Amino acid sequence: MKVYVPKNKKGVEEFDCLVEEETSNLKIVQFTPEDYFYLNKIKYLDSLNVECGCIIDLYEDDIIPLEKLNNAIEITEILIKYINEERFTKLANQMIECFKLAIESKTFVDVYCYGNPKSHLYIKNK
Amino acid sequence: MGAKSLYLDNRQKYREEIKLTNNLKAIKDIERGFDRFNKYKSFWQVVDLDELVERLFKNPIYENSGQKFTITDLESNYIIYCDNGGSYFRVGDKTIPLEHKGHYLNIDLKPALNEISNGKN
Repeated sequence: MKVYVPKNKKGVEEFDCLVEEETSNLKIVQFTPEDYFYLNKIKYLDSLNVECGCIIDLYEDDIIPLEKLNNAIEITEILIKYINEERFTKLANQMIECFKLAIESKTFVDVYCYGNPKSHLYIKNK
Repeated sequence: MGAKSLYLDNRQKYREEIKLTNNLKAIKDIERGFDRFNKYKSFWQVVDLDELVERLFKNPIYENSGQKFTITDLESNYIIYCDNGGSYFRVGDKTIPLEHKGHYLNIDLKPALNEISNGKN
């Protein structure tokens, strides 16, 4: 799973052009496939979908727009207290940092869930 | 049976199976695909799946993987991901890692750029 946060207009352009390495304009946070499946299993991503009106999903990406980022922070903080697991707290705090950066930058957060690249769904060419 | 028929037939059977077994997770996964289709379909082009499969693959291999029904072949660099929730598919380039959003192509088989900066999505 990857989370993209443009820090400025140039960052939005870089995001549009599918830049995949973090730059001074575009923050990219990489989560492992195991982290993605964990967050999905405990329904964190479903919670974001409900609170922010987005459709974060496997093999897809979706944007949490600026006007919904406070909702994203709020639900994440609530779940940190409710779930009370070290692993979730660590991952959730990384997400909150992304949300806050996007608010500060007046942009958005894009969440891309690519699943497990080693899965049979993606057959590497010989 | 053409690719489109196979996809729709598979999609129908999969939906029936998950309802019958009350697989709530799978049902929710399908619903998201349906929601995504309804949210974004006005931005997407209507494409003939049979024509595309014939163009891209000599010996197509079909596989159902829960949320997606995939079509590819061993010789091609392309893979088509048909959604089992909504009526849409995406084309992938197998030479570009799945971790990169550039893995997904537009209908001209070029990387599907986002268009946030000019106001489109």
